[in-house]
Amino acid sequence: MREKRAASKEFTVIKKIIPLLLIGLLFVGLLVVAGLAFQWYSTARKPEQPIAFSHNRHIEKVGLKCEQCHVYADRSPQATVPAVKICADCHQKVAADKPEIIKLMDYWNKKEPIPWVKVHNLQWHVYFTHKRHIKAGIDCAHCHGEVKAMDTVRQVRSLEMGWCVDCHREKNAPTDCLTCHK
Amino acid sequence: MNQFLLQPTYEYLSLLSALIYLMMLFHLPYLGMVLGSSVLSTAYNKWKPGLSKDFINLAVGKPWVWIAFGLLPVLALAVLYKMRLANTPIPVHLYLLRLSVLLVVGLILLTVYRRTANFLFGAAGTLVLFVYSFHFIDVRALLIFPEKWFFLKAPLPYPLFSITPLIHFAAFLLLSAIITGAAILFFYYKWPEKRLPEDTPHYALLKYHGYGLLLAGSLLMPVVLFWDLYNLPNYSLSVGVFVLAGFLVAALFILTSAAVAMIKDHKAPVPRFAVVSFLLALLVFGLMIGKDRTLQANADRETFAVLNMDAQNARNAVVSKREEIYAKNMIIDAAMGENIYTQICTACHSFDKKILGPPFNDVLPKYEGKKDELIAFIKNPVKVDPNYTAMPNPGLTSIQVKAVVKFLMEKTGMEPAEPAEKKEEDAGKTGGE
Repeated sequence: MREKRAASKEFTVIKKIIPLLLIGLLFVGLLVVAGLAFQWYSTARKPEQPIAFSHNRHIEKVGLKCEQCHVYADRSPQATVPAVKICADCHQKVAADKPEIIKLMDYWNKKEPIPWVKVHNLQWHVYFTHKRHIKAGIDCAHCHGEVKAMDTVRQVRSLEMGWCVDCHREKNAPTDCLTCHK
Repeated sequence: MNQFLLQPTYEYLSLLSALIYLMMLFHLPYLGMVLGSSVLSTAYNKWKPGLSKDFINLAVGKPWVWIAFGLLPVLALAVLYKMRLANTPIPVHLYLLRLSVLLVVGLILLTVYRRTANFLFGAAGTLVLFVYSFHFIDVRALLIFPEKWFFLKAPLPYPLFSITPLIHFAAFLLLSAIITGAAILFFYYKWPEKRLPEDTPHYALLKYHGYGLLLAGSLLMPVVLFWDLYNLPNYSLSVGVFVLAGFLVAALFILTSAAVAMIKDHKAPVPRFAVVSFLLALLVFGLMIGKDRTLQANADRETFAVLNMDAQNARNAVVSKREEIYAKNMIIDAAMGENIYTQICTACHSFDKKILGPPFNDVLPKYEGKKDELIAFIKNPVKVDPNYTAMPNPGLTSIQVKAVVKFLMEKTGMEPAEPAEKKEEDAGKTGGE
């Protein structure tokens, strides 16, 4: 009789624990999703830039080509961000009253570089040169995505080794380790 | 095939995305049910033939069922993806057409198995459907990786290009367990046409399978979901993805609770939450497909925008062609040109001074007698002199460009100015016609 009572007591306790356990699971689940969202939002989202520069507007509306501003892309390893002078040359006159242009001209007047946030970063041990790739006829969009459709540029390619090697094989480019790792 | 397709617009592309979602919602839960029930049926084939028969009867019904939920949505998806991804190198339509052969073979084998109860047909059909499902999920996962689209040469994409397809396949298997469990409870205990009589020998056992599948699937699914969110490339994520994931966790929690409640009440002849569980299982599928579609939309946001821009350009080309014809028969007015010159050109040009662009007095003489060249240049400017910044496209219509050119030529004396009286005369003539 006592044993039966104890068993029934145990069962009642389990009955009470199960709903609590389930609700606990729900909260843990929602917390994990929120944590992953927070981690993505705070670190991995497309970066905020100091000036809301729109590539879309400059390529599609104004008709500029990539190398007109990134002038070193076809002649050096780095494509480089344009000198403030390149922007100021046009914007001393064009759209000079817009708030973002006022910000731009502030940098120009103070003779300070614009602290753009770099979007495409390679590992330190990778030697990459823009010049070679452009000479080989690789379109900028191949590695940077359709920048002409972006306002703020975001990274849409992994820039991982496997991806580089896929393309090198496809184009019969060297796949020797020393090509990219000096 | 592209030449037969219309230039898409934003609304049209959005409609395609909605239709893709709908077709997936038709196909994936059905595929999950077929896979789940055929695995169970084959496993019990020799051990408990009655139970095995009920399992296979759950989803592999008459041919029209598998044509409507199996084959047709896949063929529709092939066409929809072809249109939606028109400017990308990924041949999703070809992959789906090739896969549809596997699907048909798998479903035919299972239909034969349903009639004959021959283990070999069941095992072969299940295996073929496994291969089909894995590749189908793989093709869907590939849509999240635009960087892989340039190197696709094999008849089907290489399945292990990333861990994501494997995670998505694991998620699909768990969803299949959930929908199969919910379908067992719904169709065999609630659905009037299929309801089992209570004296069926395996009446309780079938029910327990439903509970077990529901509970196991809904408990494990969140783990796979977190793993997926952790592994996905950053560019494919958005607030929407996390919101949908939150809803998924909540829906899975309700499903787990329903399964636990039914297990606690396992002696009841009819499961209490059979209908709710089935609807929730469909909702979970819907949320999962929605989440995956959002991932794909985030990943190819720019290719979508480029398609849209192409559509806009095609529309503008039609308008400007129409204007071209109109401009041929129209008297071009230099006064209109002067107006445009003052509003637009003076930002960068003057006749005698260098501003951003060169002075007109320096550059215009080279166009003497070459009016058409100047018109073509203003319509589509290219960089000429390295000492100056490239001229942006002023975005003028054909008539406006011709008017500006007329004004510039008259002003620089390259073309004689028309006397005001003649203009009035011409205008009178045109009005009379």
